[in-house]
Amino acid sequence: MRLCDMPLYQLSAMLDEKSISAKEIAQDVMKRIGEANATVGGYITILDEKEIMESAQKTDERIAAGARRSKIDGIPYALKDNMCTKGIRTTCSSKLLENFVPVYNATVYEHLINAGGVLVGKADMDEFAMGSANENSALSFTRNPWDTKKVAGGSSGGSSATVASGQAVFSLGSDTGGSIRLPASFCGITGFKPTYSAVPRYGVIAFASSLDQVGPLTKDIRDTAIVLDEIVKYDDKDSTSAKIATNYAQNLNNNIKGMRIGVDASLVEATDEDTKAAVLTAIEKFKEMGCKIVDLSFNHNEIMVAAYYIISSAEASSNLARFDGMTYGVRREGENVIDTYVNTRSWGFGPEVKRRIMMGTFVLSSGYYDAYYKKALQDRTLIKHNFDAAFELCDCVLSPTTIFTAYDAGKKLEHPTDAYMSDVFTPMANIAGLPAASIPCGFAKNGMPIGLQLIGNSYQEQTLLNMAYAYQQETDFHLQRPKMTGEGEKDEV
Amino acid sequence: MQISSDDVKRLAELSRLAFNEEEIAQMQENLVDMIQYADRVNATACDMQAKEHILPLHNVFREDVVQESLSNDEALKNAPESEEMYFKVPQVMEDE
Repeated sequence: MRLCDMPLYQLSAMLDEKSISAKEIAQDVMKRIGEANATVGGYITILDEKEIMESAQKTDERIAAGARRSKIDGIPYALKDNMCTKGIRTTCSSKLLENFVPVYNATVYEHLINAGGVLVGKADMDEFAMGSANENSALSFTRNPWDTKKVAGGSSGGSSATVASGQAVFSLGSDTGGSIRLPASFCGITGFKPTYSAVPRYGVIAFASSLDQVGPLTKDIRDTAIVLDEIVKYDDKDSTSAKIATNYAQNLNNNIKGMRIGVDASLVEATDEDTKAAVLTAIEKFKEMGCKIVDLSFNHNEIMVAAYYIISSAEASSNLARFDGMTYGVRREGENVIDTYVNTRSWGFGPEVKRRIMMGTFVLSSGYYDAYYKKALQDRTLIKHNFDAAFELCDCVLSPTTIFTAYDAGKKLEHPTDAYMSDVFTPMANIAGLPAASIPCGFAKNGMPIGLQLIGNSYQEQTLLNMAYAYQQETDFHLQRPKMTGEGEKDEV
Repeated sequence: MQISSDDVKRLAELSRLAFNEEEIAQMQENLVDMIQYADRVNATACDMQAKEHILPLHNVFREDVVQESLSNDEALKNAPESEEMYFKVPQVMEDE
């Protein structure tokens, strides 16, 4: 297997043993970018090779001096392009920010710098993280490495496709309603959305502040634990940041005997044939491992996605008001200041972003606030209450991540809400602020990956990690790699 | 729920967005579709307390201490237009 296709934990061990160098890993990842970037895409900005190699060189020097900083030290990674990187363009995949070069770092990036990670580039995304197929990117493109005619999922599509195709060893994405888990599911990798407040949001360009959370996309749940150990940290620049002591990688264990898994059968029933079969097989696997299945019946399935779109659009309309062309970003002059705002925003935002701003403005406007926004917030309380009750009966909740596997790119949608269908199982974790993972659990007949979602109680990341770890010890779906063009020349390790 | 083209124009004005006639018709259609979808929130009779936020946080304070900040040059680095140490923006106050 090529270095670029290996999981983080394995590369990290090889660096510690000095059987490879950080420069060799970086070189192989750069080589894969050369092979895959034209077909899979996934990046908006790729750093200069010289810069990447210098960063890897520094790791090699630290290793030689016996001062490796962390398991991430020397590992090439990608950051979703909504995380501010000082001196490196940060666009949110929007024309409005195509020239924006931050003068400060997002806290999560600062943590990865301190850990010694090797930043390779800024990953493509749906504009302002609004979308579920990565087809709303205004500046780049991303396709599914398993079949480049198909979508990678979104909105962290670039973060997912780059990892799945070996153009990065791991990445960070953000998840507002499923934007880490959905593309992880579509691309056959592991995606993790931590508990709301676990990972600092300072410097991450906001979509919906009460739902947004940053998390890792990786090839193996062990990698997830390693990355979480670096980014789950208190930050006094984020007023919602939690103080949690973490040692996820160290505490990872596969003894899940006696764990109670809640399943709402109606969610499994709602999926396509292949997904349903794979999820039912996974449930059997957990039973074999000594877990107990608890039947759940949520009464919020009908209202949940609607509540999510109301809350997220309302918050987006407010958050995106700051993009006015005055102090940063592109400005399109008008006759007066108001015209300049309007020209700038009308030129800079894409259609989906405009739809969400308009929808958000509608649900917050007088006369409709109580019927929509306030009602959605009441539903949020209901959903949280339902999960609180569920976690009295079980340790985690299992469901499919999506209804179907990755679909053809460029598919014309009759209604914008048709695209929201991809998101029916994921937003409940955001609404209730809960940690949730998507892990590979099979392949459809057409070869596309299928994802399994596990949702845990607040701050019970370790439970989810252990559940996923035990599952990955017993299955090999996460070990499969898509075939990349230009494969098979060398680099057998 | 009916949305007229005048409603769309009013929302556009509030959102600081401009649309041509064709885009207004399209947006009107989209909004009707989205609002119809959003109407599902009214499917259950839920009279629980509205929650803006999932965390039980109140009044998060930190010490008010002077810290290092951005330099003037850095703060203006992304400005579409600047002059000396200021952002330059279109005239905001009307002439008498």
